[in-house]
Formats: sequence, C-alpha cells, structure tokens
Amino acid sequence: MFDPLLQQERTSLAWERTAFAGIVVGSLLTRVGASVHVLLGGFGLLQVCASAALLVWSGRHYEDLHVQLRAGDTPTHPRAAMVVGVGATVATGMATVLALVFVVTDS
Amino acid sequence: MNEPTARTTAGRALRNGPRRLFPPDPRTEGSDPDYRFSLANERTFLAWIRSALALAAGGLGAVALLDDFPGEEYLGLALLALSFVTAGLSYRRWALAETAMRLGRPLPPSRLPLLLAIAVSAVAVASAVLVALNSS
Repeated sequence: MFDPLLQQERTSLAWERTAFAGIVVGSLLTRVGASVHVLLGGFGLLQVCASAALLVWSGRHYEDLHVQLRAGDTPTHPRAAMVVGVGATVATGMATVLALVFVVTDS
Repeated sequence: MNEPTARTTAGRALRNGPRRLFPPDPRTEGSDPDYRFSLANERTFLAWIRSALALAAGGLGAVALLDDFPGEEYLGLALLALSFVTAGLSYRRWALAETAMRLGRPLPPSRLPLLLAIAVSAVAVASAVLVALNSS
C-alpha cells in the first residue's frame, strides 16, 4: 500500500494551513500599513499575493510529490523551506517595523 | 600565535550569521532517510512558521484593533518581536533536523519552545493585569 499513514496528504494540508495563515496576517498588515500611509498597505497586499501563490503551489506540489514518492525519491524540498522561512522572517520583520511606526505616529 | 581580538570575533560572527541562520542544503550530506521522517520534519517546520504568523496576527491585532486600555501597543510589539525571532529560527531548525536524520544522529535540542512558552505566558499575564486594571 502506498503511503498508508497519509503522511503526504497531511503535509500538503499543513502547507495549505500555513498559506491561509499568511493570507490572514497579510490582510492585517495591509490594514496597519495603510493606516500609516496608503502605499505602505502594499506590503500587506504583497504578502496576501505571495501566500495565495503558496496555496496554489502547495496544491500542485501535492500532485507532483505523489509521483516523486512512488518513484522512491526524497520529498525534501530545501528551496521551498528556504523561501517560506525567509518570506515569513521578512513579513514578521516588516510587521514589527510598521507596527512600531503606527504606534509612534498614533501617539 | 595570534589571539583573536574582539573585532575579528565580531567580524566572524557577522560573516557566519546568515550561514548559521540559513545552513546549506541538507541533501549534500548523508543518505535519504525514510520519506515519512522528512515529511514529519517538514510539517514541524510549517507548524513553527504558523506559530510565528499567529504571534504576528496577535501583535498586529493588539496594536491596530485594541484601543480600550493603555499598554496594548507594547504587548503587540512584544508579540511581533517574538514572531520575528520564531520565523527567523524556523528554517535553521528544519535544516539541522534534516541533516541529523540524514547522518543518523540524534535530533539537535532547542531552547526555542521553552523561550516561546515563557515569553507568551508573560505577555498573557501582563495583558490580563492590564485588562483588570482598566476594568476597575
């Protein structure tokens, strides 16, 4: 039986949940950024678009991985992990800076 | 023999910083482990990323949406700083665990779960105190 514990499907759902979380944080970042300056809302919008792209990619990756695992190849994908890791670091860093600017300008 | 000075030590830390945070491709070492282990490691990495994003959502929400009591902006900024640290260390955790699996070594320990638990608990207690003070 191929993948009896449904590891691949659970991993695919984990990617999708992560993309959903990225969309939610991107929406909040759009609101905070736009309340400082309308152009700064673009950072949040960019994150929403990147997370939506991640969502589409994770759906496609699920299908690709099926073939890869049946062929006995490793599912390790360092580039995807690197992109998501760096992307989340940049997004949370940007959120911290924008929130700081929001607090300073609001007080 | 030349002793390393504070300046060379700092320079080395600056040069090695990105390499330590973003270690090289784990596939360059060892052999492929059971695919289920790699996928479990990937899910753990994604759980760390979601934790970071949840902290960021909480922080942004506190800063932008809560206006009822003083100090909410500091709690929000603390959560955002935690989210940045969590996101910044998550790739390193994934890469080190994957490398250890490939080399058949024990998984590397981390202080991050304990740090995160203490910091989030402190923020939760501080926000409860602020709510209580504001309600009285």
